[in-house]
Amino acid sequence: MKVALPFVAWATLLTVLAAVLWVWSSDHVPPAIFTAAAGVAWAVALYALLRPFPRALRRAPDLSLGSGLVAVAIAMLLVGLLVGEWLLLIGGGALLTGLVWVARELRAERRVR
Amino acid sequence: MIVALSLLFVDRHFSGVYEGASGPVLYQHLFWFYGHPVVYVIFFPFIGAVAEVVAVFSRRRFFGYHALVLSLLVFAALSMSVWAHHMFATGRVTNQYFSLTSTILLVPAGVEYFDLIGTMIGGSILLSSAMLFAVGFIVLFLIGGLTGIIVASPPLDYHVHDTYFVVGHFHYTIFAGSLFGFFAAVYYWYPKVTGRMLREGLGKLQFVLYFIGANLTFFPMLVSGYEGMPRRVADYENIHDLSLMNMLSTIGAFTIALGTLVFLWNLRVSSRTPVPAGNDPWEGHTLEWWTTSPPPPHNFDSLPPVRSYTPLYDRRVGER
Repeated sequence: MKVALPFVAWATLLTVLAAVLWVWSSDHVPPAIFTAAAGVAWAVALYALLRPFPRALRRAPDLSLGSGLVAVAIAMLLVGLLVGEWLLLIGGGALLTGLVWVARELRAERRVR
Repeated sequence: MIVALSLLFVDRHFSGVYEGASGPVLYQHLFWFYGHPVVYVIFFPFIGAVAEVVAVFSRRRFFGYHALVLSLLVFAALSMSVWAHHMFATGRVTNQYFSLTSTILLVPAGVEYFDLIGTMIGGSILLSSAMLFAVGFIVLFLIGGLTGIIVASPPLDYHVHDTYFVVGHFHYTIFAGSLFGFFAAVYYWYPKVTGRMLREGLGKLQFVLYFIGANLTFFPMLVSGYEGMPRRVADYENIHDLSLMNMLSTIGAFTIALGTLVFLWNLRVSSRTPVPAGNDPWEGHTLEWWTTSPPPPHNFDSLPPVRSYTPLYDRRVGER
């Protein structure tokens, strides 16, 4: 409950500000964008409010630079669709490197266990 | 931003998204809805670093910790409500609303400044390189914030829109908010991460070059922008000493580059002739200063009693 309070407060503030903008604005685009953001904030707040309290201890994941590189590579590939082939090539190379990196991390983890 | 880019992709290949008079404005809405809060995402971590550095080198517990955390949350929430102040000049947004929300940002920003200055007042201030960069952050970020009031006001924004004034304002905010905060953090945590000290003399020289360079680069932009220097142009009419202002900015940029070379030299000197840092060279307040530098993979062999967010400060005060 306490964990969810900042999210609820955040969502409430966005909702109030969005409502004021609906009243004030003659154009529907800005308040619609803002309302969508408030909706996402409410979704996060409700999840934080309603999720069951974790009973068992959770294992924190190790820092994985490989998966970070995979995420950046996917972003580069998506943006590359728009920007051009040069970014697709860089993204492809980064994705390959990232996947190999993740595989090595998984293998090292298995070896430790 | 993903939505904006995806729609742009569809528009460029199939058309029909950003069409008509309102098309470009829709793209601007989507871009700035992401683009403005992300600036705050850039500098928020550095506010935390600067707060830590200011408290440690003032030899005091941070003043108003909870108020600072709350103000950051309010700042973050409000950051999503101000995006269209970048679009005052389009004439297609509700200027009064976005001017109001942009100006309200002064309240959490003021709380943060009040806390930082309140921490220093009455403290035993040690002007190390990290602290100098933190103070530099406070001063330059203040100029960025105060010029932000001008661009948050539509009548004034009409005058300076698309000029160097906006460029100067943004760089005072983000150069101070990112680079000065970043180097405050680097000089503070480098000994913990590497186990070696950076040279304080070189750090102070870098600070002086950065501080002079930043002001020499960005302050003339405020003046030339106010006098009408447009941004994103290669040629301009030399009225109101615009050439002189641009020359000063260029000299300032090279001064910043020189400061960066000093930092690289500092890294080299630190690595070639290392000075061991020890566990806690700054009399830090938080747990990381309890363990060795650099910390072992398991982080801690033992822990002090933790009764607040500053356990090492509590222990030191208890010992006195």
